[in-house]
Order: sequence, then C-alpha cells, then structure tokens
Amino acid sequence: MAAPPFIQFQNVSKSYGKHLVLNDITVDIPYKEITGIIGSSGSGKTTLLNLLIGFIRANTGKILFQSRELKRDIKNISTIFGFATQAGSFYGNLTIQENFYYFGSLYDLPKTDIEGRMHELLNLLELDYAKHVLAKDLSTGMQRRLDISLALIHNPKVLIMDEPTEDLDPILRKELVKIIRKIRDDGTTIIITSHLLNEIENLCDNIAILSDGKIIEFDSPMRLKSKFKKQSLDEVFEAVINKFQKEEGIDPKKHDMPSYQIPFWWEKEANKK
Amino acid sequence: MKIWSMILKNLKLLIRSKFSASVVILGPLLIVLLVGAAFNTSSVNNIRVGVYAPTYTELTTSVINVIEKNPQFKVLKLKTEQDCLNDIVSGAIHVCLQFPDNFTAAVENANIITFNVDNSRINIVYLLIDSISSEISVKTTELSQGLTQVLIDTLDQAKSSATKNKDTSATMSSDNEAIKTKSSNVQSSLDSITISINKDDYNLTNIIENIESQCSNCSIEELNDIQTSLTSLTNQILELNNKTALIKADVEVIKTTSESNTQKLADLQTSFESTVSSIDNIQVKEAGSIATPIKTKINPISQDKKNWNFLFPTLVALIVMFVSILLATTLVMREKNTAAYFRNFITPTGEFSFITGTFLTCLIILVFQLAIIFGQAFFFLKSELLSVIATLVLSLLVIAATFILLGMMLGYAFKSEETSILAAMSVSAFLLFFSNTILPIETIPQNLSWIASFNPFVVSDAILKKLLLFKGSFSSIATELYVLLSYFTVFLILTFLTRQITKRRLGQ
Repeated sequence: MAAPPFIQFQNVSKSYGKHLVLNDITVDIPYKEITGIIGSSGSGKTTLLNLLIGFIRANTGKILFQSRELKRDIKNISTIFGFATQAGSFYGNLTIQENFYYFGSLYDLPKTDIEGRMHELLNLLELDYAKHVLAKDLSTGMQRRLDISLALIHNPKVLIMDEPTEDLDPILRKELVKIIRKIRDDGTTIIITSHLLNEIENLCDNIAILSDGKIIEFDSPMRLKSKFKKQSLDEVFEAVINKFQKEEGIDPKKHDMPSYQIPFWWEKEANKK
Repeated sequence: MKIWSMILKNLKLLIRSKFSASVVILGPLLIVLLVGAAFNTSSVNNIRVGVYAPTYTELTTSVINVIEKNPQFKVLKLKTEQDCLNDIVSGAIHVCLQFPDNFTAAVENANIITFNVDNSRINIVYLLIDSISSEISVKTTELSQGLTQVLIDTLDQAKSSATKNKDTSATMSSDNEAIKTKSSNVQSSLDSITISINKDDYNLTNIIENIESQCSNCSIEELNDIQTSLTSLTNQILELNNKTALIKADVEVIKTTSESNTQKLADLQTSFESTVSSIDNIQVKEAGSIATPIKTKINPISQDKKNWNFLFPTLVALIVMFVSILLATTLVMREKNTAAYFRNFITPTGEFSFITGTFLTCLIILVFQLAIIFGQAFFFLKSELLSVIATLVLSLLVIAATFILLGMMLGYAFKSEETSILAAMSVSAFLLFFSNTILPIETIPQNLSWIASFNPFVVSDAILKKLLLFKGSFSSIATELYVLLSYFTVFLILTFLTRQITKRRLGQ
C-alpha cells in the first residue's frame, strides 16, 4: 500500500472580501522532495504558503499534514513548518548568535539545544565564522543563508522558501541551490516559490503552476516539458498560462490591473452621472 | 524564558539604535534637569513694568519707587499711554501701569491706578497683577493709615472738649441749684411778711371826729395834716402790699426757670457723658487696624515654597505619560516594521507573550528613568518620598502601565511609523490640553470638565500630587487607582485586538 501524501490541499479556497485569491485548490505535496510553486504576480503563491503555515485560515476546504487536518493541530503547525522569507525575517541590529538565541527561545528550545542547533546550521550554511556580526552588516547572500538557518532552527519537517534566490547574483544563487539540496538530502520536505524558472527546473522534483488562484498543472519538470513538448520550463510556463487564459476567457492585458475598489458612496455618485 | 528573551532583544535593539536611545532614554532626563534648574525658585523674575502718568505727583513717584525697590521688577517710564499699550503688544513690557492726572490719595477719580495687561498670557497675568498689587498695597496701606490717624486725633480732641464741657455744665448745674434755693428762701421770707391794712378797720373818720371833739385846741390844719399823713401812710402800705405780691410772683418764676435749667443741665451732662463714653467705647484705636480691619494671611497647605516642589508631581506625570506612550508606540512600530515581525508570528508563541514582552521592556526603561528622576528629587523631597514610598511605587507602576498600553495600542492601530508617532503625540497633547497643566479644567464647560476629570493624565497628576505634596495615604488615592486600572484593562483588550488586526493585515 502506497504511503499517504505528506501534505494535501483539498478544495481550498481563500478570498479577501470579494476578491477570490485561491479557488478550489487541490494538490498533494510529496515527502522529502522539493516542490516548486510558480505563477505570475498576484496568482496567489504567498497566500497558499500563508495558509499552509496557519498564518491565515482558508474559507473552505482542508489542508492535511500526514492525513491530519492542520487546523485541528494548530499548536504543532509552527513546529512542523519553517519559513524563509524573501526579505529575510531577522533582526538586523542583533548578531547571528543573538538572532538564534531569540528565535530559539520562541520555539521553547533550551539554551543547550539552541547552541547545538546553531553550531550545526551555521556549519551547514557556512556562517559559523560570522556569528558575532550584526545581521545588518552581513552580505545579501549571508543574510539569505541566515534566514534559512533561522527557519530551520526548530528542525521543521517542511521548509517553505518564498523567492529564496531573488536578488542574488548567479554565484550566490548556485551556492544557495547547493544548500537547499543539502537540506532536502537531510530529510526535509521543501516548498519553494520563485520567478526564476531555470533554477526551479534544476532544483525541484515537482512543479505546481498557479494562475488566477488555481493550480493548473502539477508534475515533474521533465514530464511537464514532455507534455507540452517544450525545451525549457520557461516555455512550458508560457504555454500553460496562455492555454489557461484562453480557456477561461481572461484578457492578459487586464490581468495585472490593480483591483482597486472605489468607495461605495463614490460608486453611487458615479452611477448617477 | 520567552518573555525574558523578548525583553533582552528589545533592550538591545533600542540601545543599538543610537538615535532612539538618546531620544527615548536621555530626553526625559534632560527635561527634568532643565526644568529642575529653571523652576527651582518661588517667584517671577525680570518683570518689566511700563509706567505712564500725565503728571508725576509726589504720590506717583513714591508708588513707582516702591515697585522699583523690588529686584523682581524693572520699571520703564513711557511718554504716552499708547506707547505703554504698544510695548505690551510687542512684548517689551509685561504690564503697563497707568496713573491718572494729578494722582492723589483719597480723591475720587484721581486715585485709580489702571493695570493694562496682555490677557493672552493668561498663565502669567494674574501672577503679575498679584505681585505688583502687593507692592502697591504697601503704599496704599501707608496712606490709609495716615488718613485714619487724622480722624483718630480729631476724635481725641472732641473727647477732651466734651469732658471739659461736662465739668462746666456740672458747675452750672450746682450754681443753678443754689439760685433755686435762694429763691425759695426769698419767697418764704416774703411769705412771712403780712402787711394787711384796711382803711375801714382804722375808721379814720371817727378817729378824726374824736380828735376834733376832744382836741379843741387842735387846729383844723393840724388835723387835716394828720388825716393826710394817715391817708398817705395807708396808700403806701397798700402799694407795698401790691409790690410784695409782684416780687413773690417774680421769685416764683425764677424758681421755676431755675428748676427747668437744672433739668436741662442734667440732660447736657448726660449727653457729654454719653459722648465721652462712646469715644471710650471705640475698641480699635490704632490707625493700622482701622485702615485694614481685616488682614489676610495665606497659609499654604503644602509648606514647600519653591516652584520645583509644586511642579514636580505634574512633571513626573507628564514624563511618564509622554515617555510611556511614545516609547511603547515606537517599540511596537519598530517591531512591526522589521522583517523579523513575520517570523515572530509563525513561532509557537502566544500573542499575550509578545504583548507582555513589549510591555515589560517599556516598563523597565521607565523604571530606570524614574529611578534617576526620583534620585535627583530625593535631595529636595527626602521626607515626602520616604513617607509614601510604597504607595508611590505602586501608583507609578499603575500610571506607567496604563500609558504604556495606550502607546502599544496606538502602535498596533496605525500602519506607518510616522502616523503612529503623530497619533501618539496628538493623544498625549490632547490629554495634556484637557488637564490642569495649561488651564484649570474648571474653566471649560461643566460637562466637558466632568469628562476631563477622568482623563488618565489628570487622574495620574492627582495621585502624584496627593502623595508628593500632601503625603496622602493609600485610601486617599484608591479611587484614582481604580480608574487607572479600568483604563489599563480597556487598553489591554484594545492592544490585543489591534495586534490581531495587524496580524491579519500581514497575512494579506
């Protein structure tokens, strides 16, 4: 009997007011693999990740972790997931070590465990030599590595990375890709969002293509390229999005229009005129 | 452990940001130092008094001299009334004293000194009027005493004159009594004289006829002479009788008049006695006491005389309010604006722990500042502080806690650092304006005044004044503490709710 999927999204929808951000998402995230989520801006990538870590609640549908509904296990969500953000979620005026002590204490880790984990992660991410440096004084690549190490401090089962290679030069990107693979090899399931499709193609075991709040494709990069008979993920993405927008009757020119809503009283005045 | 880590982190972040550290930590201490140096006095200083008089009489000059003698005042003589008024507007002088033409004491319309003041400087105007009036009142009292002394001297003269006249009337009364006695004697003497002659009783015709019959030798002429003599004698006796009756009547009149005069003199004497007695009955005979029959003595219920002592409770309340609100708002906003804010939310840490962490950080900084402030104040208020130390510490903690939560609530409620700081400043200013610090709350309409009495700053100020100025007990501030604890609870709930809203915003 096959093992149940590690993380399952079952008909998950999320809206902010009248604006539907995620529309009936159903997808399974496999264990110990790197899953990439790609999509155009405003497609709902960040909302999907925020739902997963329990930062926001879905309007409808379920999210299961190892077949257990996450919202029933709210206390453990934060220990299951680690989150590395695009901007770097740490205190610039604290040293690397101080950041570790602080966030470690928020995960209720004893000081000795924090020290052990810090030593391990700083070695893994090659930051050990700079642990007494203020985080704001680190280079961009080091800051990104610090953020990943802080996301891993409590040894999460799933590491979520939002645009991890954004703003990095090619050398740093390569280094980071190497580190992400190392983390995966250590047994951590990884979910990544990115606009840089080449890296995603090289790094991820599976790719979910998100458009207008829906996952329109989910498969390995190889199978996606083969399915759409394209040479690169870039071409696949373009083909998938175009096909979807055509099927759904979405005007690509209006697609990125901001969804600004005029006040109701103004709307009434405008209608009168 | 978690909360301690948060406090430690907050303190490190605050100290490492040099600007925040200097503004938030050193700012209030600098204020206290400056205010302490500036207000450690009991009077107004360097008050420029403009003086205008069309003519400078002796009295005008002497009043001006009295003001000039006080080193607090600097007198400037101005040429015209308009100059005097203009100088107030321009700020060259604080007050303009306008004397009337031929300024003279106790002359209607010529004894009025007009104070021209700038009412927009309402916080100093009554202080100026009071200070200068007290100088002028010294001169006024001096003049009044002089005038009263003249009245008293005149009364004394009247008394001695009345006493002298009383003696004279007494002498006259006794003389009159003697006249009356003598009259009575004369009257009784006259009454004892009985001269009653009836011509018929003597039967002169028969006597003459007998004389004629028996005296043949008598000549008719001799008889006629005797008859004539007898008739004359009879007539004289009759006349004497009549005159005696007239004298008796006159003596009677003298006696009656004398009696009447004696009565009048007795009345006069009584009147003089009454006048002397009335003058004697005047209890206050000193000019000073008559000139100022009621003397006022201001007995301050707080014995300290320096402005610093009166200002200190309000200053502490002000610092606690401003620092608590601004520090808490700044800390929350800085936390919200850091990239690390998001990571805090995804850790298994309750909202209450974060609120407690920020709250305790602010409280620690405030306790540190208050320790320094009260360390300085210890030299001035040693006995006051020691006698209320426990109640004071408790009150300061409650006051600080209330304002810290208000600041935190504002920090969570607003999106940007600028707007939250602006909101914090506006709320602090609002609380300050509706307090007794700038204008008494009694000057605003009654309904608003009642609402303003629940202003947390007014309540805090009242607590600190009761403790530091009047050494109040716990029971004397219990009501105020309950009011602040109510605010504390409301602000805590609002802080929690606004933090939840920021979390929701972050998720979007």
